[in-house]
Amino acid sequence: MSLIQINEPVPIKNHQPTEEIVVGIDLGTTNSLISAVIDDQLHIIANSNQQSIIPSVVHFDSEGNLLGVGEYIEGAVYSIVSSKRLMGKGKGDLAGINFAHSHLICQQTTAQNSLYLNIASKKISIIEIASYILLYLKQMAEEQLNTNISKAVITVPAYFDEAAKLATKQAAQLAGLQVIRLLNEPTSAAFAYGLWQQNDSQNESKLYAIYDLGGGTFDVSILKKQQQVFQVLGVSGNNNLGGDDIDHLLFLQGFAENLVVAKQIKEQLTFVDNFHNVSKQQFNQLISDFTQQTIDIFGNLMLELNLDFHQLDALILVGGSTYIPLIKEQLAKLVPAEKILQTLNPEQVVAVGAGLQAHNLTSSKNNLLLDVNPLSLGVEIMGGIVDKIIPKNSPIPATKTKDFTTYANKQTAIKLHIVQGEREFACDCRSLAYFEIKNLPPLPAGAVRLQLTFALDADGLLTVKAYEKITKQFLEVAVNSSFALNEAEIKNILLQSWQFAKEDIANRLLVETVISAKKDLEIIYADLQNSQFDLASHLKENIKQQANELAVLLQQPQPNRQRIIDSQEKLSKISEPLILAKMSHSLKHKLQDTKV
Amino acid sequence: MNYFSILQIPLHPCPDQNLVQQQYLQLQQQFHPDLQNEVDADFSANLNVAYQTLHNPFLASCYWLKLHGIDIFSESCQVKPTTSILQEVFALHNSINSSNKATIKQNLQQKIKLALENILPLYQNYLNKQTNALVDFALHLMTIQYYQKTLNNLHQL
Repeated sequence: MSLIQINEPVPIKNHQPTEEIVVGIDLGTTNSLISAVIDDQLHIIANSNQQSIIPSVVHFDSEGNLLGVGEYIEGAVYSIVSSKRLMGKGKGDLAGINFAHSHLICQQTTAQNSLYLNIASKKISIIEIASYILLYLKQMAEEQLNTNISKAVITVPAYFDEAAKLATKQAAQLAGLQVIRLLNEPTSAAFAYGLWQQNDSQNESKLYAIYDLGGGTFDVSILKKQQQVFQVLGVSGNNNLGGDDIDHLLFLQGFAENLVVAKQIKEQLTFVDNFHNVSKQQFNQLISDFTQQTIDIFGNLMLELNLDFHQLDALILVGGSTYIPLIKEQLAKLVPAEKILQTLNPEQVVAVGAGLQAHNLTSSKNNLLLDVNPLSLGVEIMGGIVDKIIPKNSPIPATKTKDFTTYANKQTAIKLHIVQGEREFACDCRSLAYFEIKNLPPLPAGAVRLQLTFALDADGLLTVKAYEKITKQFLEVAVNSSFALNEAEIKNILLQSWQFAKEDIANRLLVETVISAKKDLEIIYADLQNSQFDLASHLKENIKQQANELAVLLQQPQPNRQRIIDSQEKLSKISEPLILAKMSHSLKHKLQDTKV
Repeated sequence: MNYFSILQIPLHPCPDQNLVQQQYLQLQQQFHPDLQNEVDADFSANLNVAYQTLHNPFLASCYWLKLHGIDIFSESCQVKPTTSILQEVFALHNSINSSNKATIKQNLQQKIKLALENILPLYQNYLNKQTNALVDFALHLMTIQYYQKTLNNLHQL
């Protein structure tokens, strides 16, 4: 691929796609972006208001009807922010998580289920909320690129657990997007930087650290780039640590009367020494524990990987929260300031990497990204202890097999508990799934041979296979985390969401379609009138008929977009001979002028 | 297929780390399903697992030993730690509570480094067909394992 150019958001109309466009999506806690490579150039796609950084806010009216996504919409009564913080969470996981709408969390939700919010009389799951953001981005790109979008690379925090990754994938499914890869956010940023600096030194290996502090999550990742391979050596982080927590801190300590003001204070103090009666010094003191936590996580990861800070070639800053001056000051104590990079916009760089990887995976296939799993995966054994099968920071995809046996005589069933985390005891780890293998032969303890295979795919999603050697029983378990939606829920939501989508977003698409159809008609009517084009009259009649049909559809009080598109397609097929005639006419015309 | 043959490197308890890295990247570029269409996706996963073991000097030695019949990670391992190893571990644990953690970490890292360097002479003993060479080898790795575990616990504190 040629050198990348990151274009400022401009509408990319009139683009004639030769192959399917696969987009990259940064689904952030605070903002979301969508990007795509078109004609070897990366574009960050903007909406019709020239806005490319879309607030991850979903608006509902007083009855719980979806109004739209992004900036405040008139009539919005419920504007749900930072929903990503609850992705893949159950009711039992809420302690210690700052969430602005905790009062809306549905009381009937059980500890083992995906969370729902009470929005007026409606119950809307967190996954649905995320799907509306994705749907908005998808439709925005479809509108700008004038093509259908069905596939995407979606970024997730590196430290997201299985449940949260699965929830993201489900949200994409609800939005009609097939996820071709879940890409870790810091890896995505490093990919963007790595390609950016590609012409520096082709063969030298470079060691990058990526410090990614977003609105809701903190990730740190160490990555080695050698030739065209980007190899992640290790990741660490905290899923519940982000800029939002600073806002909550300012609010709780009485520096701000609400979260909106708190956010303003945090952002303004990057540029001024005093804002809303809060001095920079007070602010730095308030957040010093917070920043120290991130520095400690970073330091421990370096230790675990046996690396020293001076070995780093660059430290890349990602995420809006890295604008905070104190963070840069503290990092500069570890890594020389000239090695700290923020050259690519930290709010955009993840989306840039996602778009590049989407292109790389589907067409160019020049670069290879080798990622790791962030947390150990294991199974609970006797005494509640965790036997880690795939340790953290293992390169993925990975497959590992281990044998287990029964501990009691004539035990005929084994209950398996799959967990994720670093702690010794299963009760301290994240529970992913339970499953049972029944009808084992009643043998003495230790005689049964159960072979467990853990397979982690390139998205970091787990499948477990169990094989009992004596009875030759075989069991495959997709670890459909208990915190995801079940199939019935998904179906139900899919049906509902098509009704919702009639609002706002769909309307804009309709307008777009009507305009393009009108343009087509204008040209075709004019060409039909043109007697110079050599075309049989019955063909002309066919075209005219189809064109009239489309014209009627456009004049209806409530035009149906799909019918217009279908009719438009039919028309373009039927009018092929007309276009040919037009072309041959202009060719003839040109040739007549040319003296050979 | 063992990990050494997957990465196409010579069977050795202390594989050349540069070679491990180089082979891993080269083979992934050749066989990763993201880059190639008609390849066996399992091979890429196997490469990952092989690399994860062999690029870690300690795990590589343990794996080599396992191929020679002794698995120190197995509960039914025929070699048991000696009293002198257990005594050392005990002393180490006692010192954690009394002295500076940063110093202990540094000491441990130094000890692990030295112990890893001492694997090679033990391998030489095995090549010279010295009696009990493999058992000594196993005991040495067990010592490193205890150091490593203690260090990890310290990191997590």
